[in-house]
Parts: sequence; structure tokens; C-alpha cells
Amino acid sequence: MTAATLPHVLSPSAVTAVAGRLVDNVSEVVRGQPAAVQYLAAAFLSGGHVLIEDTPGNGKTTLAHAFARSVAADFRRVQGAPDLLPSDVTGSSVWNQVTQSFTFVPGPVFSHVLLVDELNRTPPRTQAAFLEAMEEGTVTVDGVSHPLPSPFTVIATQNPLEQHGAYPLPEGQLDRFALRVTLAPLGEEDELRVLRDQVHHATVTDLPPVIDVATWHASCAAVRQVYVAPAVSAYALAVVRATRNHPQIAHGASSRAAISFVRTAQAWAVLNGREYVVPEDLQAIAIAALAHRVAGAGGAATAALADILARTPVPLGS
Amino acid sequence: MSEDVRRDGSRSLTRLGAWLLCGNVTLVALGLLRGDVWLYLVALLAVSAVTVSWLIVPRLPHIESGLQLATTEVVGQPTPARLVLRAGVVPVPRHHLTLHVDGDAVPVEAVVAALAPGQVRAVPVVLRPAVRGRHDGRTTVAWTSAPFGLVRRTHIDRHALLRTVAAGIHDGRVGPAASSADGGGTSIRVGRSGPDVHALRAWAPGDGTAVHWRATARRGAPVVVDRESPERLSLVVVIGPAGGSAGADRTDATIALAAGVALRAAREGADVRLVTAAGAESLGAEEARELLSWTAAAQPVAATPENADEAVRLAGPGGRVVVVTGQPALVWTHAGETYGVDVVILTAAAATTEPASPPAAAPVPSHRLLVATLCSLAAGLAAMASTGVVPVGEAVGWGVCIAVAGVSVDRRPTVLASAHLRTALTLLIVAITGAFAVALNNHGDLAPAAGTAVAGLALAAMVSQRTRRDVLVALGLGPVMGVSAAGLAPGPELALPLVLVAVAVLAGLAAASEDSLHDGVAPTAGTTDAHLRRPLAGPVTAVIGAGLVAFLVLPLGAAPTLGTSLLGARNHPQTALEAAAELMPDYVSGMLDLGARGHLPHTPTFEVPAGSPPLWRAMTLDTVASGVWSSQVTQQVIEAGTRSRVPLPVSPADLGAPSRPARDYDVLPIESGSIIAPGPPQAVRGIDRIGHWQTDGFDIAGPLTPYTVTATPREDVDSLTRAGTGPDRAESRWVAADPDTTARTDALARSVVAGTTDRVAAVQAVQAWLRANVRYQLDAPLPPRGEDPVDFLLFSSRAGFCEHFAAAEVTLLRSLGIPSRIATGYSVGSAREDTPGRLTVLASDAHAWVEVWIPGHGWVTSDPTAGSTLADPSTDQGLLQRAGAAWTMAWSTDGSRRGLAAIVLLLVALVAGGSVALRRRRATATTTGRTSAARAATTEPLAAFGRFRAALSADGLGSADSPRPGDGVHDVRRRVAGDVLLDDAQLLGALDVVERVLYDRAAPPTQVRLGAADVLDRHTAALLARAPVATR
Repeated sequence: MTAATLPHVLSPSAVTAVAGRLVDNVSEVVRGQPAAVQYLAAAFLSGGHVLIEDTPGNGKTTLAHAFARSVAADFRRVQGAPDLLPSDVTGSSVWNQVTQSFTFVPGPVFSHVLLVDELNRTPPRTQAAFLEAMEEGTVTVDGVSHPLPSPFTVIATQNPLEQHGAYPLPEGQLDRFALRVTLAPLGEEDELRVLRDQVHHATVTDLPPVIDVATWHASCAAVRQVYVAPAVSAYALAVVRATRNHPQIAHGASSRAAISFVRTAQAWAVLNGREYVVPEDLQAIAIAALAHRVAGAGGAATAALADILARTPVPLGS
Repeated sequence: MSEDVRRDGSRSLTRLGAWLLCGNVTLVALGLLRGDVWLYLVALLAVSAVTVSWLIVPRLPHIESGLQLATTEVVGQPTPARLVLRAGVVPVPRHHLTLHVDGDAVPVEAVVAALAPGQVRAVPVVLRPAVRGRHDGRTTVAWTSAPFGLVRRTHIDRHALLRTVAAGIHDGRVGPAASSADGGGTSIRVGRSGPDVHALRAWAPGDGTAVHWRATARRGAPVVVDRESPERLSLVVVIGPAGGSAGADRTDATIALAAGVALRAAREGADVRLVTAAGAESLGAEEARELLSWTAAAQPVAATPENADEAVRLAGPGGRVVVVTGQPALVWTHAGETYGVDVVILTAAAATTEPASPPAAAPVPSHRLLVATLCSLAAGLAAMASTGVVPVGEAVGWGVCIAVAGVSVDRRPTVLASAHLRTALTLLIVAITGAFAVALNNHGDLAPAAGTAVAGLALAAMVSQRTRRDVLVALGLGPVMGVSAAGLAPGPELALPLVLVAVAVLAGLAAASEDSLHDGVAPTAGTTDAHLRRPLAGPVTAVIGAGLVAFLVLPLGAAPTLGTSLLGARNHPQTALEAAAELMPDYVSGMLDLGARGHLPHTPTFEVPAGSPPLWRAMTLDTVASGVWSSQVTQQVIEAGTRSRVPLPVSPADLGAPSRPARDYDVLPIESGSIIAPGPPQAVRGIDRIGHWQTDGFDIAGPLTPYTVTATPREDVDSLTRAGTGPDRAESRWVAADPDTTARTDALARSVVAGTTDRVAAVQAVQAWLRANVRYQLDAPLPPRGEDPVDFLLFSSRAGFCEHFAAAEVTLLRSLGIPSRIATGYSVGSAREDTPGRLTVLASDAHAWVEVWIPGHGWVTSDPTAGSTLADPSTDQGLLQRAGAAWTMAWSTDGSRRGLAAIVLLLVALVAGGSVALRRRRATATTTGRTSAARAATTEPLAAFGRFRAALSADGLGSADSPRPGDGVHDVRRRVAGDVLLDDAQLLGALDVVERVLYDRAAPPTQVRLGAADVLDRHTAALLARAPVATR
């Protein structure tokens, strides 16, 4: 998409307001998860995909659903299952009796927001179908590339506990997620509220959309313009490179990870009402943005990253 | 010292300088419009001098300033005070300094020696009684003086006062405590005078939010502090006696140390009370400003047991008393022991005495200035001698005297050391010169009298000169001589002397201005002088060159001179006849010189009946030679009885058409004795003796009495359609052209009348051509000597007054062989009707027109001026029309066009040169000054942030190993959160600024950055002050 076809350009403060509306709206339904909501908002604004990882029943799907509903955009959902086929996701060509030719019937991936529930329960073949869609924004079926709507965000959930009948996501797949979000345990009060809210019906279905696709798109464009000082870029890279040398990390984050890291930090800066990225933005998202991309199981990667963040000097101009 | 010196200052004109500049620019424009070379040249040089003087003054960099009032003010008496100055990041050259109080007059002047970057200096000043009592709102303006009332100002921070005072206290006044009850540590604990010992205990319900966050963070569980006393920290600062034999300096030091202690404690949040002889006063953190008035009025408290008891009671149990004194006495400690109050006795370190600036002695003129002055005077004398204002011998005499006086005063200061002798000598010279000048003036020689007076003044100035100002006065007398010469007797020979005067004056001003920067110090060889000279050399050269070129290209002869407009003088010696012609505007002398200009006052001259024809003739002029018209002189007197009607000898042919009847007109002569009539006068009644001077001009030879004149009004050529039949009067005196008439005039005449067959038509054509192509202008340029006036009018100036119009028409007609002559008299067309039925004719109504012979009609009038404005300045054109006309005129002839083109080119060159110079200066300022300033402002908040961070770590706020490399600005924010002292919006704002400086696309404005640095430094200071308590 070229700049000329952009609906309009938003100022950073306007994007901050948009993001605030989004976050407020989602928080109406998703109680006690401010960090997760912020991360998702950042991913939304930076055009990245999110992987929500938590045990079942903690509101992963509600969170994803709430975001999808908050945007007045085309929203599809795919339920991960061992028998899910790639064509169930991408769509397939069917024989048209009238025209005597194959016609492409788009699958659920042709949407603005795609919720893939329990991604790790789909077989690797089907997981691979998402790769092109997530990275290139296109789907190729029978040798024909079909562009996906823009913006396109995948919100996937996975359950780390239940390993039976699950296919762990390959590194290549994980690397395409800008953020991996883990939900925090709910406090007593929050849980009580959730209980009260949800006892009659799922409140997420009542959630009104607060931004439209054009605004979303313009916000993404504006977020890309957020200033990243050379020192801050260097700092981001230093963190990413440190993952490659850390003893507790088998192999470090990729260059794609670095790019995605900084882009998400741009969105994070806007969420915090700034027009420029500060090292603290990178620090705030570092775990979410990098931990799933480095090989080091679970807590080890997180601890290693925290260590890296503490050691990497923040640029302070001297 | 480098180019940076010029940074951050601004130049401005004083009001006087601005007026001077405006006035001179106006004069330049006027001179240009009028074509007045002298006006133009003099004004141009003046403008240049103002501009140069503006350019040569160096800029002063930023200086922070504040006033310390360390001693008691006494109402109505001068108050000694200290002006504390702190240089910014660039060195400050030596300069004069004035202190303005709220825009009032200048109460304080001082000379400040050069300051190194960041150097602090206290200058002793004396405040006049008029400004006492207002210690805030003082703004200091540092300036360097320039000639013509121009100054350069530096920007002074209006709020620099507190900072500077604080700086003064810290830098020079609070030293390590000489004797301290705490055991002689180098730091004094102030502020926490209350219970220093406190107990930490676990938080319990009911403690509310009174959590000690730092300890809580350290222990990982909520902790509160139990203080022994919940009261605010309280501190009593007492100013004790400075010591028996101590001077004001010691008292100052005592007061300043006390002030420093109080200020610190107040900023730390302590409840500070100041005890002076006047009693106790509370000082809050927000009232630090009040400290100033407090120090100004402070009087030591005597060391008596009563005072000590009172101070200690004020502190209360657990409080702390700080006694600052030069005379430690036991009473304080006794009182403290008695009441269980901690008493600290501080002795002020002996005040570091600033080297006092040497008293600003009257600056002595430098040799360069003296030489320039002598040159200026010599050139001025040369100007006067060359124009004959002062005889050459006299000028040489003056010159020798002046030179001897100047050199002897300079070389042998002892010769005229006695002030009395000098005064006596000066008075003597002034008296002798004055008497001489008055005698000359009485004798009627205005020019030599004025010249002598100016020269005498110059000699007196040289004899009495002692200071630079005296010599500058003498320097200014050179231009006075030059301008006097130009006014009294202008001429091209003035060119060289005037240019020399200008050069000498500019050089002298430059020398004086440069000297003023080195008052009292030997000029050091180095860049300081170089950077002063560089901007000077270009403009001075340009200005002198411009003046010279302007003088050379401007058509001198074509322009009226300064002298003409000021004094009505002529540029060639007058004959008695010409003088008479000038004084008698009605041309009774029988002469009309086109190269001269008469002065026509607005005085009533005649009264004539209303409704009479517009042109009243006094005489005609028919003979012409070299631009001077005259008529035949007869010199006879006709005797007549008062009552009788006397026929006048008029040629019958003069009477015009025989068909027109003669009429009687009653004329009341008021000022002029001419006999005037609407036509040739045939008879007159009411006059005893009639003078008959010219062919047809008559005059009252006796007293002015009303008379009745009989005359036939002339027909006007405009009322005719064609010539009749009749004889032609082609006599030689009416057709003989001026032998000087040029060929192109003849050619013009033929081309104007081409196509006409009738004489009436020919005359009307010539008349119409003149009305259309020559502009009426009373102060039109006079023809240069030796040039035919008519040719000059028709082909060069295209502007003239009635005489020029009439002469031109007659010349053109005669070159066609048409008999014609000039008639002079009055145009009553625009005269006022003061009394009913009577028109008042003014001298300024004097007019000249043409009489032309038309066969069948006789002499008829033709007034080529009539299409334009008549000779009445009150109906003169507006400035715009005149400017337009001047423009047209400028482009109508070759010579003027050249001149104007040269002027325009010159102006363009000047503007271009000036703008290039300015741009270069600005560029230099940008590349050297501004970038370094920007860099300084960028690093300043960062450096302050670094200090604050270090202080934070020293204070123990946050974890023990902090800061880690990964801790940035936000970490600091987190650490100060919840801290009583640090968690305020100001600090958070400052941290935001630091963040923006570090990471934002565009850094915040300088002021914001500096403000943030300030806030950070203040908090750093507060942290450091608290440090000992925290580590205990």
C-alpha cells in the first residue's frame, strides 16, 4: 500500500488517544490484566502478531476477542484442532459448474483480525499455512497469490500446559509473533468482578467497536513515524546481540526480532504518550518481544533477558 | 578571547542614536531629491559615521548579575553594595557597566575587568539614595559606549538575582567552618536541627500512609519512622557580633555566612528563624528572596546572656541554634547547655577581598586620537581657507597654534599642568577670538567672523584638553569648520578638505572607541584587537569611498548648494545692481538675471481694484545678453502736480489694439514704488514726481501715495484665434536673440511650430509646449555659470519659474523671428481680497510673462507659466508630486540620468555591502557562538542529571548497587517517587526534559533545558545537604 492510498495521517497524540480508547474498551471486559492489554494494544498499533500463552480458562480468548471486537474490522476465528487442514485456513479453489472453472473461495485468514485459538493444537502443516500470511500478508493457493486485507493481525493463543496432542510451534513460527503475552494471575477482587460480570452472559459480545479500520491503519502508519534516536536503536541492537552471547541462551534473537522489537517499542512509546522511543520502552517490552524468540526454555529465557537488560548500559549521553 | 566574545550580546541604538540615524537618512533623501550635493554629502557622511560607530562596538556576552547588599542601608545616604557578576561560557572583555533599576535612570556605573568563563567577581558599587529600598527587580545592563549615543547591551537574566546571590554565598562566603561544635568537620549540618535520631519500626494498622518508603523498599516490608518529635525541623540562625576591630568586610562575611546557612536550611525545608538586632524573622523555603532584604538590614546581636537565652528559647527543646559570629563567646554555649539546645558556633572566614577595580579615572586620549583630531582640524582649516572664508594666512596661523597646543599638551603634560593656567589661557583665547569675530561681524564680514570663531574654539579646545572627551570635542570641530565653509561659500574646491575631515573624524572615532575598551590597561597584542579592527576597516573604507564617489559623480553645478538654501548666498560675487535686483522683486532695476534667484516674501506690496485683469505690468525687458535681460535705461524724472493727471511717454504702438478703451485703476502702493497697470500706463494721477527709469517702466520718485493709473488692458494670445492684418514690428531689439542661444534651441523652436502657418498658432504652440514640457518649480536648479540658461532649462533641468518660462518663450519666438519681449510685474489672479473690492498683491505674486506682437492686435500677452501653478509657494506641489517630478526630471536629461544612476548604484552597493557584512557577522555568530551555546545547553541538563544521579546513589535512595548500567532516566523517576524531598512536579518535569534531550527528535528550547538543569542542580544540592543524615 502506498502513502497515497492511506485514508489519513494521524498525529502521534491522536494515536495515543486512539490507543487509550482501545485499551479502555478492552479493559471493560478483561479485568486485572493491564499489562496484557497494553501489550496487545502495542502489537495492534505496530502491526505485529501476538501470541497469548496461558493455562486454559484464564481469559486468553476473551482478551483476543475483545480486541477484535473493539475494532470495527473483519474478524474471523479459527479453532485449532489436530484435523485442521491448511485449506481450512487459507481457503481453496472449488469447481464452478456454471463457469466451468475453479473459483477461489477465501478462507478465514482473509480478515483484518484473525483469532487462532489453541494454535499449538494444529498440526505443523496447518501451522505452516500461517507463515506466509503472517509475514508476507499474502496467501498462495494453487500458485496464485491472494493479498490479505491490510492491516492484518493474528492473535493466537496457546496452552503451554497441555502437551498431549499438541504440536510445539517451530522457531520460525514463533519468530513471526511480535509479542508473546502471558496473563497475570488475577487478584481476588478482579476475579470476583469477572465472576459477577460473566455469570449471566459473556460480556465480550456486548463490546462496541471503538476504532474503524481506517483509523487503525492510519495509527499504524503514524506509529511507524515515531522517532527512534540513533542511540536508542543502538541500545536495542545491543540488547538483541547480547542474547546471542548469553550463556543461558542457546541461540539468540534474529535480525527480524530486532526490527520487530523496535517497532513494537514505537507503539509502546505512543501508548505512553510520547513521540519518541526511550530505552525504557524497549526494556518494558523486552521480555514479551524477545523471550519467545530465544532458545532457552520458559523461565530461563526470561531470567537471561532480565540479566541482559540490567547489564546493557542505557545511553545517557555521556 | 575569540569570536565567541561577540556571542549572545545584542546591539541597540539609544533613542538619541535612533533619532540621529533617522534624521540623517531623511537629510540624505532630501539632498537626493533636491539634488543638493552638499546636503547629501554631509548627511551621507553622518549616516555612515553613525553606522560605523554602531558596527565597531564589540558585543558583550551574557553575564549573570546580582546585587549583594551586605551592609546596612541608611536612609538618604549612598549605600555601598556589591555587584556580583558571573561570566557565562564565554569570556567577557573589559567593559563599562551600568545598573538600571526598573528602567530608571542610571544609578551605578562601573568598569569591569575581563572575566574568564564562569568567573565570578564582585564589583563594589554605591547605590544612590533615590533607588534604595527596592532590592528586587534590579536588572543589570552591561554596555560598551560608542560615539553618537549608541550602546551594545547584553541580555541579562531577570531572575539571575537569587542564583547569583546563592553563588556568591557559596563561592566566596561559606567556607569550611573554622570552629564548629561538631568537631571541625568541613561540612556544617544545618536544617536537621531537630531530632536526628529516629527509630524505624514495622508498619502497623493506624499508621496510615506515613510510610518510610526508602526503608520499606530496602527491607521489603512496610516500615514507618518514629520521630521523637513530630515538629518541623527548626533552626535558629543568630548573627553575632563580627568582632571588635572588624571592618565592614568582616561584618559582610558574617552576614553572608549566616545567609548561606539560612538559605540552605530553608531550601531543605527547615523552619528557619533569623535573629538580628531587629528581632527574629521566619524564613520559608519560598521566601529566599527575602533573605536579601534581611541581609541588607541585618545588624548583629550583642553577645549578652539575655539575647542568648532568647535565641535558645526560640529554638525550643531539641532545636538547634547556629550562631555566626566573629567573636565566639561562651554565653551562647552556656545558654544551650542550660536549656538542652544544640548550639553551633560558626566563625566566618575572613572575607576574600576582591581586588577592587581601579577608580575609573578620566580616560586619557591616545596618540592616535590626538593625531586624528589634529588632522581633522587641519582639514577643516584647509576647507575654510580654500573657500576664502578665512584668509589663507590666518588659517595657517590657526593651524600652527592648534598643532603647537596639541603636541605640547601631549608631549609635555607638565607644561600646562596647572588647571588654573589652562582655564585662564582658554578663557583668554575665547575672549580674544570672540572679540575679533564680533569686530569682523560688525564690519559686515560674516564669513570670516564665523570662521575665526570656530578656529578660536578649536584652539581653546586643544589647549584645555585633558580627557578623551575634550579631544573628541575638538575632533568634532573639524566637521564644523567644513560645514561652515560649505555653508558660507560652497564650491568644488571643498571636496578634498571635506573628505579629509571625514576620514580624520572616522579614524578618530574608531581610535576613541577602541581606546575605551582598554581604559587603564595596556592594549594586549592579540586577537581582541584584531576582532575589533576587522569589522571597522571595511565599513570605514566603504563609507569614505562612497562619499568620494558621490561627490565626484554628482553634477555639482546643476544643483542648488547648501549655502543657497541656508543663507540665500550666491556662488559668485554680487554686483551692487544684482544685489538690488535681488532685494527688489519687481525688477525696477531693469535687470533680470536668469542665473539668480530672488527672495519673494509674502508681504503686501499693492492693493488693486478687484475684478481687474490678472496680469499687472511694471515694465518690459527686451534686450538680452548671456542670459541677463534688460531694457533701455532712460533715467529721467517727470515732475507733476499732485492732483493733475500726468500723461506718460508711451509709444503709441505699445498701446495695442486701438479699438480697446483705456480705463482708470486705483492703486494703493504699500511697499513698492512701481507704477503698475494691466497694460502700458498712459497717464497717472496722484503723484508728485514720477521716475522714468526704463523705456516703459515708471516709479514713484517721492513718498508712496495712492495713485490712479490709466491703461488699456492687454489682450491675451489665448483669446485670439488668428492674426489680423497690420504692420509687423520686426525691430532688432524685439527679434534679436541672445547671442548665446544654442543651435538646438533654434531647432526645437522650429520643430515646435512646425505645421503652423499663423503667428497666433505659432505662439500658442510654443506656449503649449512650454506648459507641457517644463515643470514649474520655485526652487528649480539654477543654470551653471557659463551655460545658456534657456538651453539648460529646455534640455537639462526642464524645471524653472516664471522668469525661466518667459525667457524661454521669448528666446524660442525670437529664434523664429517673432517680435516678443519679457514683461514683469504681478499676477493678481490668486491675490486675496482682504478689503472688499480690493485685492492685496504680495511681493511673492511677482511674475514674468511674455508680450508678443501680433499683427492686427498689437502687443498681446502670452503667459507660458499660466498652465502651471502661479508663483505662490502656498499652492506648491505635495511631496509626492515633487518626487515624481524630480524623477521625471532626472530621466529627461543625460547628465542627471548619469548622476542619478550613479547614486542608485551607490545606494545599492552600500546596502549590498552592509547586508553582506551583517550576514557574515551573523554567520560567524552562528558557527562559532550559537553552536557552542547549543552544545552547552544540550550538555548542561545531562551533566546536571549525571550529578543528580550520583547524589541519588550517594544518598542511598534505591537499591544498594544502583545505578546499574541498565538503569536510565525512568529508574531515577522510580527512585525519587515517594521521597518527601524529591517527589515534586518540578523534578519530574526536569527528568522529562532530560529524556527529551537524550532521545527526542528535537531538543526542547534552551530556556527549558537550562531551567531543567537548574531544577536538577537544586535537588542535587538538597540531596547532598541531606547526605550525612542519611548515612548515619
